[in-house]
Amino acid sequence: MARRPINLFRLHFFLLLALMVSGVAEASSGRTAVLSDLKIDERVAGDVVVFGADLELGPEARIEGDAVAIGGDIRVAEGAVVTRHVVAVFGGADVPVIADIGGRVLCFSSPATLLSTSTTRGSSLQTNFSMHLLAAGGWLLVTTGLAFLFPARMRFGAWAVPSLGIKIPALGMMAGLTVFASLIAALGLGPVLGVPLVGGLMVIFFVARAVGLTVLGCWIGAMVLKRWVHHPLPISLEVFVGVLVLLAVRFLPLIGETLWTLISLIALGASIAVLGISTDLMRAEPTSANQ
Amino acid sequence: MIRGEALVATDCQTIQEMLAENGGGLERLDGAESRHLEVCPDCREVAAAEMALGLLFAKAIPPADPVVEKRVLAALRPVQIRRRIVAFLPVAASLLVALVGAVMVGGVPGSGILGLLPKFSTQGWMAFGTSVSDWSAAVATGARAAAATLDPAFLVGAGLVSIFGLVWVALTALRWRRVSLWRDDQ
Repeated sequence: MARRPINLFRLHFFLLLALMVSGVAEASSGRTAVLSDLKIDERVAGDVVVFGADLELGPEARIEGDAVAIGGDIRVAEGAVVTRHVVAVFGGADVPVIADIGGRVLCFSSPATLLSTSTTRGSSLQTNFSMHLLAAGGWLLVTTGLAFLFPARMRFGAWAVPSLGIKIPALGMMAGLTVFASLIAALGLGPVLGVPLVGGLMVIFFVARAVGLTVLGCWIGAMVLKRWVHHPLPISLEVFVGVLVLLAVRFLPLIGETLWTLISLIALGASIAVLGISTDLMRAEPTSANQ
Repeated sequence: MIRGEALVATDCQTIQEMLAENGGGLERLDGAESRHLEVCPDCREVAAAEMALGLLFAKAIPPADPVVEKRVLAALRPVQIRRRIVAFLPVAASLLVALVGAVMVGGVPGSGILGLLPKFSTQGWMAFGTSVSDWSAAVATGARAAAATLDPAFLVGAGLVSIFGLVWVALTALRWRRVSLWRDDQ
């Protein structure tokens, strides 16, 4: 009788589930939480860390260490005390001026919103606009550059998107959760190994997202341009238009960042679809035809 | 009209795909498909066109005269260059957008030009540099706190999930590698 192969998808899914459940269970200890909001309004001896959720410190909270939220926001009430730093990575920190913070308040969400929490609060509107323009230009440059350098691979990727359908966001979601688990594992190794590992992880995540955005941009741009132009266009132009549409979605007020997160997850799935394209398949088509 | 129009339309599509894959050859068609070809003028037309195209390619490739080949390629070169330039225009436009953003943030090297910029832009890179150093400080703090508070078993679990996830993503990419993009039935 033939033995069934191990289904890695199920195994990975159950491992992720177990990790989340154990993370939520750990939240009951009052010091850490994973994918579950944590509210503290008492004395805690040591650090408080929250992954993928929000941390709320009430007026009676006294944290004798760092208060850290990775992938979530921190809200500190008036009267709360944190003896060391308040840190929000990929999230924001709402800290009142009169809150008693022993260290610094450090926030990092994305390059586009870097300056909103930095020292130049007085000119945040203008500098934010400049940073948004720089971020938009950066994404456009990276994606059109990828399309210019690897036209055949990106074109095949764009063709694969509709045929693979729902598999792409599903795979993107699983890949995103894997990146998140890797982030926890890397940080758990401590600052010496953790900082370079997280940096490396972020670079891989950025590259995968850039490739995926190029593919999605090509797909969307081709659909948009097809309405007005009926002859073949350079793939870089299709990517330019498509990524402009995605960036317009990103900079929408209120829902923009949430939609951008979803787009990023789909882009992760699309990048894996591009990696999966056989190079033999691409050699069958002339590259110049895709320019 | 042929009996069962909707069914025939699907058959036509399938048979025409098979004809395109086989260069108009009929040898891979079974009995029902051959009978369909006898009664369907559209499919017969496709079969004839594919066969003619196959014959054309058989005669045209490889080119008999390398000198002619070289001349044809030389004549195509300006077209290729023009295409590359047109394809580069969106990249140049993106670079321009990024440069305008950088200039507004304060990323101009020449102090003379910098002096012409509004005051807010000169603060930009200083704030940017501060934020980048803040990022490493924030991650270091997060790593120290995570190492101190998270249960080692939980961290091992996170590591296992990462490894399984990586293997699973690689296997999925390899599995998709074998799927033809224009065929949903594989």
